[in-house]
Amino acid sequence: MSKNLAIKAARAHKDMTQKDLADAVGVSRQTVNAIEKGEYNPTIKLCRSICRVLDRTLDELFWEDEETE
Amino acid sequence: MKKKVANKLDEMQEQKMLKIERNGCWLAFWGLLAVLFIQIIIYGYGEESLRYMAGEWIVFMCLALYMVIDCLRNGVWDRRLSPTPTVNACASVIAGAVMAVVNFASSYRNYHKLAGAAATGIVFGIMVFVLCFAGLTWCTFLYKKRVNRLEQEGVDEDE
Repeated sequence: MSKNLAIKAARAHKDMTQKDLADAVGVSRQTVNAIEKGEYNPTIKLCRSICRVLDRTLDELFWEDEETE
Repeated sequence: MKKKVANKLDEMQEQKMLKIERNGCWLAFWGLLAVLFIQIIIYGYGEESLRYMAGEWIVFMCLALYMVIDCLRNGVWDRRLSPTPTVNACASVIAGAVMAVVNFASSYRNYHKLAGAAATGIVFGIMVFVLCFAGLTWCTFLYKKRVNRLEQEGVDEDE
């Protein structure tokens, strides 16, 4: 899995740290870090929570082109 | 180079397989513990009984150690319980009480002396409580240290 730079950018745009995002969606900072690094594939439920907090759509944060998947 | 065999399960089947494996693991864990208790009650702690129990005990300890070490390594404690002194004390009391009952039953079955069996049960219960509480306190210390370390990982590069 490749790094999820979209979440990192959206988080930076909202001026949120990984800890802030983790607290907002109810997971640990390790989990947010793993998602951004592409080491953990979140459930659709967590994806939707992240999208809600960051005011982005699922496509904007989690869509990957075939060659980057 | 070693070629990785492709996974033949889809996402849902993979989840079901993990659930089956998890249930199997806990069945083996509690089953082995039950077998050990039954063997202690029936045979006591003689040399012969230890020979009967050795296999089960080794498998049980490997399983328990693997789970404890891997949970600590990943900074995971429990789904519902927190690593606090109160919770650790409650868990230790339960472990001590169970061992007290098992050893009371074992002693009474093998020696038929009520007072002696009660004393054996109480001594074993207290010893298990102390050891269990010390072990849990040590694991709590290691867990908190590991969680702090994991929480720091990647902070500098990512924020």
